Amino acid sequence: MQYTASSFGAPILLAFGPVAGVTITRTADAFATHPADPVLDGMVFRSWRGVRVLADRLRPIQRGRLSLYLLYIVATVIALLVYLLLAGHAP
Amino acid sequence: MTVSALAAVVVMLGIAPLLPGVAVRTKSLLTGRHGAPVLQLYHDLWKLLHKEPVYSTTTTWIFRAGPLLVLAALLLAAFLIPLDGRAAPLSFAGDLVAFAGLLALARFALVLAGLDTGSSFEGMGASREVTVAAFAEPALFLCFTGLVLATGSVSLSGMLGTPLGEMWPRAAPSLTLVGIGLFVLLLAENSRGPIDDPATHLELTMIHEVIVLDHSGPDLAVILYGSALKLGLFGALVVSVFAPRAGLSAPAAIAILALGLCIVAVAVGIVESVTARLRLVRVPQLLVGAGVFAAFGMILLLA
Repeated sequence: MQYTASSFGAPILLAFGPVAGVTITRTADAFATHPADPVLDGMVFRSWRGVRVLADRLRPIQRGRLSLYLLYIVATVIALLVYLLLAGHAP
Repeated sequence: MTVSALAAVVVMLGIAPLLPGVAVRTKSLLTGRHGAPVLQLYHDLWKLLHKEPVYSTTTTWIFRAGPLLVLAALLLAAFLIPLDGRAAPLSFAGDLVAFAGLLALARFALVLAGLDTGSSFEGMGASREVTVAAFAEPALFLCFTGLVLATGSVSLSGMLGTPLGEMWPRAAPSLTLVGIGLFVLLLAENSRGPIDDPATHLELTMIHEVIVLDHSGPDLAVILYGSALKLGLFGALVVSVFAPRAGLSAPAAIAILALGLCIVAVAVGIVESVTARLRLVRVPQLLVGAGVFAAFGMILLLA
């Protein structure tokens, strides 16, 4: 097989230009192309990193201490009661 | 499945090799040459069918299976279009996706057979063929979507059959735009000018012809017939959009299809005579343009 995959994909990558995510390094004596994945690298991985940072921030809530969970339940019940009181319904 | 639907398929299979001949004849008349006979392709097919195929030792079964797969896919696709203007012999909800899929399968088989030869020249042609297809297919689906919106049917028989004729008075601008989009796709999918020049051989600018360079004998005959049939199928789409024939008797509908196909072939010849071939990087723009035509047709329907 003389024909390479990068040659096969070249016309359509050319048509899509910068969106295709291929970086071309061209110097006087060398030529190199590096395909990147705009969807995976640019969108999926980037948003995944965002989710991870957010999850790290929220981690202190979930420590596994029973007293803390009881406090959450009490806080939720109080919040619901306040809501019902403000909404004008008797509990 | 009706007799008229089957008869229309038989007529289509019979006159398909005529269409490239008509296009070439138109081209030669317009450019002041004598040109090949209109029935040249029938003679070529007959000649090739009696020759012995030659296979390179580097090729595998993929190369031999390619032409057969191309023909099988295109024959099946012919049964999905309502050629008699009423209903196709084979029809189900969503068969437009099957139609596009069969065309893609035919192209895939051809491209694999081309790559199987190991020649970088055929690889280049294969690469160009799939590049053009990558832009043509979304445009085809946009055209189909326009027809689906116009007729409210998700089957080719509904889109191009009886309901289409009733929609013409109400949706003429949209259907005209979709028809023009389909004609541009016909030029692109069948490697006609200004996208490709079917008359060239051994030239670095060609697309379709280069993939089939290594095929010979009956294999080449099958591929040539497949190309002609594909031109006929796209021609039938264009004719069906512009000339709904559900109100006519079956023989008249089929006769108008045959006449319409010849007119489409003449139009292809005229386009090829008056336009220069586009640079390869411009081809996607033309196909996106075809998609824009169909999209405007859709917007007019939604408005």
